Amino acid sequence: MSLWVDKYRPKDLQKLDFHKEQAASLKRLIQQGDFPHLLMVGPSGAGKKTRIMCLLKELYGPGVERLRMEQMNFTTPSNKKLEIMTISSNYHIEVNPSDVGIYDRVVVMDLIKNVAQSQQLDSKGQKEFKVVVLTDVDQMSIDAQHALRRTMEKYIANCRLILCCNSTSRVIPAIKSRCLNIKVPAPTIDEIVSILQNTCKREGLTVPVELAKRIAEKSNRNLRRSLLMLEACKVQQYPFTSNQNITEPDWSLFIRMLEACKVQQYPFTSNQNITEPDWSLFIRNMAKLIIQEQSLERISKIREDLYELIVHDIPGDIIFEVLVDELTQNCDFELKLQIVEQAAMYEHRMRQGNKEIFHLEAFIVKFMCMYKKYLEDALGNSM
Amino acid sequence: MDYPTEEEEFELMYSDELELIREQEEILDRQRVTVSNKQVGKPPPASNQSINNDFPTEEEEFDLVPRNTLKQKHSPTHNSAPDNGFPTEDEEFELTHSDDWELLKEQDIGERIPKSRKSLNFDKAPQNSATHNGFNDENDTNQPNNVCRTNKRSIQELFGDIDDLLSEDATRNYESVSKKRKKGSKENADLALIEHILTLRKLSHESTNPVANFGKTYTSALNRNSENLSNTIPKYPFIAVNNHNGERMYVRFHSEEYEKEEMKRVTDRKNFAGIMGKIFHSEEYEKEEMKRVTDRKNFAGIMGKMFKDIWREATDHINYSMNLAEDAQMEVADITTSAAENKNLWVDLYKPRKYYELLSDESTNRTLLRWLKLWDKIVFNIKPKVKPMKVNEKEINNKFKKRDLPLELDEHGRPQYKVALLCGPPGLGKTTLAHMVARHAGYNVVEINASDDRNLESFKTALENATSMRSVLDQEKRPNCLVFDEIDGAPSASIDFLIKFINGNHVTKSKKGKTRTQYILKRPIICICNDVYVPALRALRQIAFVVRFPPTSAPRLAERLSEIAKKEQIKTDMGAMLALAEKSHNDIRACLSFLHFFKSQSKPVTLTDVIKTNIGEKDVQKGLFAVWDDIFQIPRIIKKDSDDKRNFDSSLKTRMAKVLHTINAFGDYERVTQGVFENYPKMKVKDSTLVGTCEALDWFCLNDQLNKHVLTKQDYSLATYLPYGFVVWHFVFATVNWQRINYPSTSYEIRTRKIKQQSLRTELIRGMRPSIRAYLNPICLKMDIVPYLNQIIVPNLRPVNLHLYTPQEKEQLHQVVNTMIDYNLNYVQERTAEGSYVYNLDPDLEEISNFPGFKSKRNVTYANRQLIAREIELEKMRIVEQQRNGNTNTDKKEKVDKEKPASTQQPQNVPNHMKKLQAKKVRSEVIIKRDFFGNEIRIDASNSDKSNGPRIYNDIFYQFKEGFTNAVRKKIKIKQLK
Repeated sequence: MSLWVDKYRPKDLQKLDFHKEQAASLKRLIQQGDFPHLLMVGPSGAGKKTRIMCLLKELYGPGVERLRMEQMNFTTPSNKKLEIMTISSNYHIEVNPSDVGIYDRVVVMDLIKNVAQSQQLDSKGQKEFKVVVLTDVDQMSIDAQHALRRTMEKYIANCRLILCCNSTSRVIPAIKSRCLNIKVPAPTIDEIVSILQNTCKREGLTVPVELAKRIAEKSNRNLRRSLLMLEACKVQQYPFTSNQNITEPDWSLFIRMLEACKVQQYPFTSNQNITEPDWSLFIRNMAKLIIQEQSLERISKIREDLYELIVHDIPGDIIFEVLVDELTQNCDFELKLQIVEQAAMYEHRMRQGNKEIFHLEAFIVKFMCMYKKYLEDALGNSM
Repeated sequence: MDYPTEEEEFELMYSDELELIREQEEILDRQRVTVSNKQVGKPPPASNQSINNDFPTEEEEFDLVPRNTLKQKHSPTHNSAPDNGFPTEDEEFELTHSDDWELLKEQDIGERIPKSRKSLNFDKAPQNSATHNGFNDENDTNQPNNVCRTNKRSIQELFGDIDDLLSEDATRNYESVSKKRKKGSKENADLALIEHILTLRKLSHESTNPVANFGKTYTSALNRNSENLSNTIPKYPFIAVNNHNGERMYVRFHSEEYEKEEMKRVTDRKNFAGIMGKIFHSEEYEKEEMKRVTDRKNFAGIMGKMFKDIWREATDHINYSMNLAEDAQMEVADITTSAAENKNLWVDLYKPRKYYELLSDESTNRTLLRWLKLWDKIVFNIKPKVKPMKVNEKEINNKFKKRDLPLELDEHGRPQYKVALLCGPPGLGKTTLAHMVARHAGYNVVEINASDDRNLESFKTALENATSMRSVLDQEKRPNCLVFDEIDGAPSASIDFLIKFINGNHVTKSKKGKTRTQYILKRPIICICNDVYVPALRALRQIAFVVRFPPTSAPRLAERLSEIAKKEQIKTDMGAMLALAEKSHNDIRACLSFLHFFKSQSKPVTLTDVIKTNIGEKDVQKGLFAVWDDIFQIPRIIKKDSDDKRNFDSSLKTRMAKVLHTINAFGDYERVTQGVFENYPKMKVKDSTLVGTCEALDWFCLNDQLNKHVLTKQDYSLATYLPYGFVVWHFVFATVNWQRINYPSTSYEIRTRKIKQQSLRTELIRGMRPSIRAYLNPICLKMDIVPYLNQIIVPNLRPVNLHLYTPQEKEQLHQVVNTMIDYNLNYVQERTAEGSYVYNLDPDLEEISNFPGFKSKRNVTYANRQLIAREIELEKMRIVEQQRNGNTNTDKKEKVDKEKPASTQQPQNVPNHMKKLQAKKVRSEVIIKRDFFGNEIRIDASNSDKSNGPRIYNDIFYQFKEGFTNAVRKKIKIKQLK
């Protein structure tokens, strides 16, 4: 447990750093002894999983932290062998049905039903129900969701479901209505800053507020990412240049460190470079290429990059997001609107289609076309 | 019907004129079976089975039926030429007229084979008459048509040549044209010869027509021949004969008078031939022909006093035929077709009967024939007569060496390729060629096709029977040649067996348990398939001599078609036939069916008819690349109208129709789409505004959406709209110039790489600690954790001894080690190709997170990697040890256990566990070890010697085996070392 993300993850509902009210109400909910199915909704890095684990601990005690990973095997009706990883304790089981792609329905029918049907033997020592945590419910196929809804009603005596997803838009209404929706919004910048500072304090370091703020912004209010960024910043090694900021508060410590090992860039500086993940840099690079030149040759170059992203399994919507962000940077308002509109349209189509590459490329070419026209118009006006 | 009755005799007397009328009747009555005809009367002087001798003969000279006489005159001289010598002239000529003449010769050989065999049967009788008998005997019973054909052929050889020289007629058959071409080169050199040709031209200008007419009347005689033979029981007097296939044939009886008359007619022709023959006296070839002709003349001379009469009649006849040429031909054609129409499809009716009639590509035909000829040695070697043939073969071999076909024979005297594989699209005449060539080379064709049972057992039987036995009924005893038609549909087990059989690997066990000795394939096998790339044929393809069929040339096909049309009295022109050939993609069968269809409509076939009807159009499935070519290439407009705009419009329309048609015929939209998508950026299209490309890409998106809908909802009604995208792409991306198209392999590559990445990630996830795994989903892992993890686990460590590290460094190292354990990472030593060792991260995070063009910013040095790897091992061992302790002493140690994590956590925070690993707080007995191994470790760490590293702590922690230290050997636990 040595990544800060893991190391300083709160284990108790009381210790949660933000959305404390929600945490308190959750606690009250648990204390009643029973609760309905839950649907945790929130963006990535907002602490959904953390909350779920805290909740389970509150419910069952520390035994829930003894986790083990199990491989479950299934056979589809078409005789295809599937295996899926589950993480379980004595009291709960967590599974991500979308891991098996289109066969998720089999998982729902087989595994969840199995768990749900089996009654707890020793009912006096523990709660009479088990908890099934399903993650990425929004990635599940409609079929699987339909398969789930009857299970949810039928076996409510034996099991509670905690569903976890990023957005409810792809969760069928039937499931939404069967669950208590708990929205977990992303932490605010200030919250992130304070968490970052807390973490540093516990590590025996100090972090300038500016840097923490920049990290929080850069991470899109994703707490996980900001913590990782912070740690990466800490580890990162700079060339020691003359314009290095040495007027930082703990510069004396810095000098000492410098003398000691000449390796560590510990003292955070507020203008420090924050590493973005490679994929994001990659997409931004691509956007720059697009803006540089609009031609068929460039399209084939861009296509290679797109394929690279697809190989790395970067979701198409994220590619769209970063791309639009970068592309719109030097456009006027009207063009921006058009681009965003087009992007939305192509992303929508991408969802309906199968091959991301077609839609991404179509959007890029559309942008090239629009941008070229825009440039020509601008030239014509200036002439 | 023992004898011709009086009535019939009368009928027979009025043979010629009456016959035409009668045969009309016969056609009508042919279906009817005359029971009385079943019994075949024995002809009075019959000594043989052969029909020829069945007829009573008055004079020795006339002992044969006219047609046979004809043949007798030709074939013996013709055939015996190579046998008896002509050694010098013949050979010389052959050498000079290499290629073309070769073919003629091959034909001769083909005829010679049965003959020579026969002459063996008949004790090699040198007399002409005996040869005739034998020859007739054989051929008449078997293939009357064939024999007569060869006669005709030799005549055509004779006259065809003059025709060529005299009138540069374009409509010569292919062979003579090519011959002329080659000859031409020689003749051009020879000025005198040219002069001679000019005189020739003058001389025989008038005789051109008679020659042609003669040819025609001869054909008519030939055609009549078909009426003298019948498969069903005919109405006319007949004799029943079995042919080599065991089929019963019925040959017509003629009265003596009739035969005489026929005879006369034929000898007329002979004489005429003789006259013509005189003209040739310059060329060697013609000399040779002269010889033959004079032979014939001599023969005619035997007829003695009749000669003059004959001569007169001949001139009369020529004049007559000149006058009536047109009508006669029409008449004859009419009769034949009407006779045949009832029974035969045109495909059979106009099947090529001779080698040179084959429409398929000449070089293909020859290659196959040559291959087949290579078998001569093993198949026909038994004969002593083979000798001259052998010479021929060698000569052939020498010529072949330029080509691909290897000519060396193996130790058994077989060609290297034991099997030929003919492949090509349907309707090009593959089967026809195989049959023709095999028969031509003197084989009896045994065909196994898709209609036969082709499971392994029956296949085996057929194969073994065909190669090791020969037909008893066949009187010539021709060897078999196996033809496997449509082999691409055969079960692969059968094909495997065939391959084994060919290689001689299979061992057949007879019932008595004896294993037969290895069987050697001694007969040629020809396989025919449409698609040579069928998986089942893969193995066969490697051992077979693959002959690919190029498409038939459209002009030749059209020419033949118009010939047929003429015969069938369909009014048409060459243009229409060309269009038809093109429309059917040179499928001969389709063209004939089309013509047949039009015949029934009985109106002239015009170009528009051909183009407009939707009959005869083959739904050809083009190859993938052809489809892409269609999309990316604007078809060239051949005719440019003055009205430019209209032309353009219509061309757009037709282009659309064409693309739609190809796409619909192809069907596999997805692959074509992929090909278009991957190739379009390379097309040199002028689209600077990118508007068109935008449009095209929108269509890609639409197609993708539709496709998904179709596939997920199984709603195929939307699939109708898929092909229209191709039209848009065609309009946007098509260029006039041909552009190179690559096979779309990218998507496959991408998919494999993606799968590799996924497996890496699952590996990573699988090894993760559950407590960490619980908080992660795969997307988070790849989006957030992995990119940063890659940077975080890079510690800044100086390349010094572990002991000299500062607390910070130690803590850092500790953190890195812990993190790596959490995420199941490790460095694994690997040996590179150069022999040096490297430590690689396993699972390879860099592979997951890195993008091309992004160098991983910082690298861990080799020493550090080694250090980390070792630390990880140590840490893992300690964890295992902890767990084992906890498990074994459950009761008492629980408290200790609980303390333990706390205590271990303590040093984790203050990471001086490295020192502990050096076994600082060891007891006295271990002190010696400590010193000893401490030194070792230090050396190891500083030297960064990989081989010692792991061994050392293995020794410490598990066992110590070095002999001298037996005294201090003791099991200790890690716990004790602390």
